[in-house]
Amino acid sequence: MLNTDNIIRNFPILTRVINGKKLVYLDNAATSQKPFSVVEAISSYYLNNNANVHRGVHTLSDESTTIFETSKIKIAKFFGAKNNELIFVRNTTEAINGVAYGWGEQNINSDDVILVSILDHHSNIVVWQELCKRKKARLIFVGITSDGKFDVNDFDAKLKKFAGKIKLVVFPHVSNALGSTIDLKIIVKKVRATEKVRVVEKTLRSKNIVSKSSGSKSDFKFDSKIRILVDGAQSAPHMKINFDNLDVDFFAFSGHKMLGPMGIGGLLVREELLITNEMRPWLFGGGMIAEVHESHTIFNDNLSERFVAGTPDVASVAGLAVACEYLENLGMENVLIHDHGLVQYALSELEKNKNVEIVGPKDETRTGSVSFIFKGVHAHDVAQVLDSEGIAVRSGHHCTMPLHTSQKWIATTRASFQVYNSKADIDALTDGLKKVAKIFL
Amino acid sequence: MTDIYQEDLIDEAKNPNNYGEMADPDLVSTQYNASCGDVITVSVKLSPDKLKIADIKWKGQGCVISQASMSVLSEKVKGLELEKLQKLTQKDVLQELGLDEISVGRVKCLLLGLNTIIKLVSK
Repeated sequence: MLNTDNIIRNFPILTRVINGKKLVYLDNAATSQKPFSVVEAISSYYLNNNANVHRGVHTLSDESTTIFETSKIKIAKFFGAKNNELIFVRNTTEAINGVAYGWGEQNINSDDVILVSILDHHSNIVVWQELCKRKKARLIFVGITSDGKFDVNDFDAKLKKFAGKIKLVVFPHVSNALGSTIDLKIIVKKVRATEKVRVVEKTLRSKNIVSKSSGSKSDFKFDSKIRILVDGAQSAPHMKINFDNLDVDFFAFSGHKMLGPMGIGGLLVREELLITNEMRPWLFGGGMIAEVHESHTIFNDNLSERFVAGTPDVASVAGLAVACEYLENLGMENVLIHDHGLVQYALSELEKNKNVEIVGPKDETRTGSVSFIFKGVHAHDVAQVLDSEGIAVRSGHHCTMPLHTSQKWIATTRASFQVYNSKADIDALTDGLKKVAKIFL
Repeated sequence: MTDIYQEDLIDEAKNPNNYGEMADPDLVSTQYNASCGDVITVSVKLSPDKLKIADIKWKGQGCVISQASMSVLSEKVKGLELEKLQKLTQKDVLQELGLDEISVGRVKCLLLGLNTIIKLVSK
């Protein structure tokens, strides 16, 4: 486990007293707190270097450009991605919308299928519902197992059932509501294997080796490529991401959940999609251009700069780079071990409480959070009582209404962790739950 | 910072080499500097075996850095194999200009000419 006594000193907000009690912050899946070094990078930028990037010759503009570009290199490296593959956006939601507008608009057609998981956050559902509405495409959900894990068998069945129709597969790397962690290797392998089968079938048919009547007419138009989008909002804060080794096409993340500032996040796009123009800019304006004429515009040669229209949030980019450095210094392997240690401790402590029903996986695959139902008490009431003890948790459907509806859960209470949390925080939570029982039961 | 406005550099920009138009070019390309609007048009005549630059002419509007670097580059690439030309870098252009370094904000000015020629011969 990490030395949280030292880490806590870097997070001034954690010394706050809430309702007479020391703050116990367990709402990290919603947003994490920020170390002093991140806040300092932001304020130092505005106090010393503020100027617009790329379009100036003066010293401040040079400094600002250098800060922006070196920060970008650090962030891309942190995610194991090429500099070209990182597109700055505000957050995961905006990244997913970017895929819908920059890729979906020109690649999704009527009758195409997008596979989505019931575990997905609203941001990875609503965006695709809207795209499917515009394109008359179909959104198909993959279910979960009884213990709240991504149902690989159901996924297999749907890959087969909709073979030839599926253009995009989306899912969360880690579920924000249940902490269920999806093994990317397994999913990617299944998707790519499906593609190969389709390519072989197509080739055989085109050579008349397989009878043409064995497939429906639409199969012949089929493009074997299936694109994969991973919502990494809840995994990036806890584990090492090596984008270039994942063999996925899109990876979305938010800076603010990984100790960075709000308002900055990233969309990682496999370089090939940018080179071939399969993914196109969806925001237009200054900065992303090479030439502008009255009749037409030629976009910036730089693959990722052509996606940054208008003045970028340089201060937040600088802050996010420092957050990446902070996590790197702790070591992402240690960060993950720390998180899994807290999750397992929370599960074992909460299970001792007979009023608590834990939802989601209970094994070592669970990452980031523990959610539960306190029998007989609504989650908002649980959270309110915990707040009176200085404990911050989240209650409700956690932006996963389809999941909650499918499981007939009205609302759940979620405790989620970061590098500064310790077992003492979980002890405070279990003590707080005793107060809940005292008041309501 | 180093003083980039050395006298010979300003002279180079004011009296550029190979400036003008070509009657019957093999290749022509125009490139803009997106951050300021500087523009350079390069015309090239290739050797009979199409492996070398036989002749080059260029016209442009822009700052001393972009025009002087295009001027020195036009001298450097005349007679040069296309293969070698494509390997030229920022360092080579700086060297031709007699500069050690340049600020980030001026890199695009410095490389406008080089990018134009490389794009042209890559077609």
